[in-house]
Amino acid sequence: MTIKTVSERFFGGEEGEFVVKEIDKVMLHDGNAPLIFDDMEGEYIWDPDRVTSVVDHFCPPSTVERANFVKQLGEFVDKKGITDHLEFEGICHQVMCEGRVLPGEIVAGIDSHSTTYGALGAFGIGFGSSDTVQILKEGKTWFKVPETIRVEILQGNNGTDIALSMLKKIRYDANYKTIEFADKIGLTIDDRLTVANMAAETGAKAAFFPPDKTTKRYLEGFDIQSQVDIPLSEEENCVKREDISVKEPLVAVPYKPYNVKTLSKVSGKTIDQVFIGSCASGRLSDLRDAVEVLENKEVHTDVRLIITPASKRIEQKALKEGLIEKLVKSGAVILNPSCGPCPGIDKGLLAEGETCITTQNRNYPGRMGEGDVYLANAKVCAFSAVEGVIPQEVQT
Amino acid sequence: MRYRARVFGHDITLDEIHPGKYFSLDPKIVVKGLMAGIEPNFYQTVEDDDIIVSGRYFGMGSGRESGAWAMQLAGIEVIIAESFSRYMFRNCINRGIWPLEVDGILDKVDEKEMLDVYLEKGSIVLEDGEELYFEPFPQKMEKIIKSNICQRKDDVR
Repeated sequence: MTIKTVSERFFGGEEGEFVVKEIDKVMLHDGNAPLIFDDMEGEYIWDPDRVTSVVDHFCPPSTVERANFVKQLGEFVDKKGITDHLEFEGICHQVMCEGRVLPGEIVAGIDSHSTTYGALGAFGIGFGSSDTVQILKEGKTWFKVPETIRVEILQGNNGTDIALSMLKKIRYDANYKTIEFADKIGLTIDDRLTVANMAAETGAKAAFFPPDKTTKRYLEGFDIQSQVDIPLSEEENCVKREDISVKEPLVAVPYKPYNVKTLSKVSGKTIDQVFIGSCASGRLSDLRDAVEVLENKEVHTDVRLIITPASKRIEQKALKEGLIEKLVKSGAVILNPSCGPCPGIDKGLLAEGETCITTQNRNYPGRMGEGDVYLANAKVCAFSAVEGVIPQEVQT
Repeated sequence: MRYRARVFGHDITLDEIHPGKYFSLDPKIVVKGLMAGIEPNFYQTVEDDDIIVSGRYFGMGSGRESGAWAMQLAGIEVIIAESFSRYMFRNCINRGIWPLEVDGILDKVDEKEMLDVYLEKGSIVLEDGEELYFEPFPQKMEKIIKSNICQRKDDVR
């Protein structure tokens, strides 16, 4: 078989073919793993050393039922021999990308934002709980080899804006497909993580940045030497090509991540809450952007500013750099690394009629409680926190 | 099989099919969340022969399986949509629910219209006699759906 696309390379079959493929690693988290406990009763995990379990949704738990989920997950990993169990270490997708996921791997996550791992040249694929049960038992599952969409990144200086531009162009049209990125501007890994994460909002099965020198240097930071070379697809074999050039900040307005407008079109909107965090953001570059705006300024009296670093590692670096001190001084509330208010289950929910602007990835009805959610980059969010409205422009 | 259609629109997301606040391991709570982002207490109106009919991209967004589980708990055996998110598609298959992709279905079916669904043949007959077609599942997939690997049969209605 001649390999025509990156999807064919990863799955080892021809486009459209049903294949059974072995899984390199599995990620479980407390938000979805409780649904597998019953079905895994009395079952063995094919290789517990390939499984990472993360407490990040209910971290720490805010109800007794959720405290029970976390307790049961701890008991589950003990019983099944999973030793890589992380609590208070950060958001699952971030900690998976801190020395766990490697280029060329197929990683199954019990979460739709598993596409994030594509930032490191892996195929991160999300599954529901019933598929995850099969994968944990057998170490493999079925796939239909997907079509591939090429996205060329030509201009832009922020991962969130590049991602929002992609959502505006592709909407849901990457459903069942792979998105591969030709990065022509040398994005940082932080930005690639944001773009690959938000590719999930197009319905994509996987997102993929070919591993390069930037990937190699990033992994060396975790004492990992990686020389894997995985080329992009031949362009004529992609079903579609989209070019991304971002010239000004973008904002997604309720109630779809692809309802994207330029900043000036939504400026003036009154804001009650700002959230900088979630698996789409909360990385060192986002915290630096926030500090750049907030230093020596104060959060507007009518606004709550909530910030969650994406992992403990990032939080410690931010502490060392003095970022956290400056953010707190400006009036920000720092929550521990976790999913935070994004999925509507932890501190920071919206009351009816309230509006939040956030670096997270979703703005569906009911996502963060009762109010409306706007999506934007960390600088736009920080400016909104100071001014109490979505700003006309961002200048520092 | 003869079913009654409960009709929803295009682009129905998982956060509407099953809002996060209904996430639980208690089937009685999970079933209450069914379609609650659009119609609170929808689950109380579900009858034995009810199925869901929707438009493009049913179940986009989150991969939380509590959406498909709530369908299973409420006794929904079939979902007909113009297309599904890959999570909803796979989760339904694993829970013994038939996800049928039928072009243009949304504009042709009214709320509570009776539909005859022929799974092996791959067709649906509407009340006015019009017949719509879908690709029947390959035997391999049919076997997975019928084996219903998640045996949560709790009757909570």
